[in-house]
Amino acid sequence: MATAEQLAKSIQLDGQGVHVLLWDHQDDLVRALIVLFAALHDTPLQPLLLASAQASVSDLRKIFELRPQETNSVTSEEDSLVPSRQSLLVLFLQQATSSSIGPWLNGWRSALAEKPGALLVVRHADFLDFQRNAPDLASFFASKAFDTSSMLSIWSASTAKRMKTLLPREVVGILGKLPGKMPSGKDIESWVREHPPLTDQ
Amino acid sequence: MDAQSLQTVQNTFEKCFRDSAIFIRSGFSGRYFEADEVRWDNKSWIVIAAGLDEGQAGKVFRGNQNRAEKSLAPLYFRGACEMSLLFVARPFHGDPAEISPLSLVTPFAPQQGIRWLELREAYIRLWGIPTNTQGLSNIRWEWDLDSVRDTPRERWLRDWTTDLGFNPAHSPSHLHLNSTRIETGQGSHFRFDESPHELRLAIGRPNPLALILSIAVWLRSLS
Repeated sequence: MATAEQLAKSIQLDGQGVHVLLWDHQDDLVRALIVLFAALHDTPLQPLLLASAQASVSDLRKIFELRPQETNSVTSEEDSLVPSRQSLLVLFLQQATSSSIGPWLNGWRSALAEKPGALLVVRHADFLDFQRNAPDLASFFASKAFDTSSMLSIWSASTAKRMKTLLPREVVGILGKLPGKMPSGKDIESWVREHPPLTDQ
Repeated sequence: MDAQSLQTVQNTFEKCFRDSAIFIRSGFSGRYFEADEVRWDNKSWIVIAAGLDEGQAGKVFRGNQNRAEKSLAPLYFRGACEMSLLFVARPFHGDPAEISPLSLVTPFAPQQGIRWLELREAYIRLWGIPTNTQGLSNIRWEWDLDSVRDTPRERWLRDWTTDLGFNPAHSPSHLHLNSTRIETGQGSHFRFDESPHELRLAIGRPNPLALILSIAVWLRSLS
């Protein structure tokens, strides 16, 4: 159990690797992302929805640069891509797509883990299936899975200053395609108001 | 108060339920309770809750309607025995000997670095206990300040109230052990109050972890 701010610290300290953000309800996910993005203020982010294998492969190919192959035996599961990116990938896995997308991500595990790393946003109900379908990738994030459902509403004053009640439009668009409903701006404002930054009291 | 110490309280309760291995909350991805930070009296507390009524849920999960709604779901033992609980707690670093009898500071988890826990609100309620030779239907531990300052109806208790600092007929920390089935409905539980059916046993300041674990040991023994 950890806070979204601690997830941000882990991402920044590691500077690479694959972290996982688990969620059950969009309400928890949105709150976690608001804190996370504020805490990651100086880290460029690249959000992407992985909704189908075909589209995801195409999108990820644009992000990863293919390394010239020494042999001609490239398959979907080969870890054969070289990253050339500056942004932390925030990959939202659409529900019930683990079996089609998992093996691809498993093959690209090194590219995903390369600097500055990736954050996989996965629904709790899909997590076990995802790990079965991406076993090598799963070994990367053994202790880097953070659960939005049990996150406490705790953040520092510096994060609070940067927290916005709205997520970037691109992320809102992705969340709109995921199951569940986003909390209203009014809900978020009230939540932020009820949780002033933690001080030593 | 730092985030880590509140999380340690959360993690310790989590471990307590996980090790007990008898309570479940279906549909909550293995979570035994809902938790969040809350402010009261300009202090930071952690809420640990399951099976609340709507009024309580809205009060302790302010600004987070979703988590308030989730906190309405109780824990279950064998599908029918229902446990609800509420702790509004924070690590306590002072001398517990110096606190008022109307404040609750209990032992907690020294190995986790939290020797004492201050509790603002606390209860554990167990309803619909499976058939047992003691004939117990429900067990409830409450920290309840509602009537503790009232003058006792019993004239002979009045001097004791002055001595103890509370009405011993309604001790702030008390345990109910009932064999009479109490109707439950939407979280509001009928109270017998001054009734021969209602033993309100004063028990001091118990470690909440020990209460949960000892209840679990007994429930596990029920065949």
